Amino acid sequence: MRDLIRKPPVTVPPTATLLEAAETLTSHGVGAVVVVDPSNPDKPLGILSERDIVKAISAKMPLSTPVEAFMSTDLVTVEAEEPLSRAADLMWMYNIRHLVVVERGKFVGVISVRDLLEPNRRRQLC
Amino acid sequence: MIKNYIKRPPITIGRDATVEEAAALMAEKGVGSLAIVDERGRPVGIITERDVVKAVARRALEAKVVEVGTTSNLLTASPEDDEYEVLKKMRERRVRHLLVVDKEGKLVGVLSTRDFLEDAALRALGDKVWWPPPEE
Repeated sequence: MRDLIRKPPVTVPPTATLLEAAETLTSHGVGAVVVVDPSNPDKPLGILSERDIVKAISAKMPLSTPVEAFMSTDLVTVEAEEPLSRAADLMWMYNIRHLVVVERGKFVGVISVRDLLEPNRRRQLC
Repeated sequence: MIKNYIKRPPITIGRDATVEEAAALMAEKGVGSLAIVDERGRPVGIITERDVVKAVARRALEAKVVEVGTTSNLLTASPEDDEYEVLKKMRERRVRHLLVVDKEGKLVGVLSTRDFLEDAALRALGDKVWWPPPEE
């Protein structure tokens, strides 16, 4: 999995606003950003997906709302050394599209369902 | 046939609705995309979560869904169409959503590539391999 993870991961601080998070997702072309306190970069606080933004908008949250108010804090993590099939299982089990990848407990990146569906990776899963 | 894969009525939004209204409907229905339809229920586009996020980034929550969604390269099919032919077209045109319309052009279902990844689909494709229809 180590070769597939996005490095460096796209992150925002917990104080970033809803608007800034949407800008970050759009400018990096990703479906989720990891929320990280810059003073403790090894331990992510949460993850924020496109769906979380849609939910925040539907709840009529102002665009100035800090992401810590609506990020998902139930992080599903996977060890970088684990096989790809483990990542696929976790995504399937939790019905999510992004996993936080850690190496010896330290945050190193994100793996998305799209990363897994890339054709030559799909072969490794089968 | 395509109609065998339609599991639920399409979740649609009118072309004049705003991005904010689309976000509310997506959240309410728990879906990641909506079909955009005209006043007669005919599909004119698709809006996804990604389009909503892009609109938020431009502070365009009041924009109309047709302005931010995809309105070109739409692929439609009839409920009687053959799944194999349709899947081939989806692949060729690199589209992920299929708009299924009746004879009047009214939207009756939306299928994504994922909807075909079921036993029923694999079974049907398997049948094709063993029993190719005479016209092929």
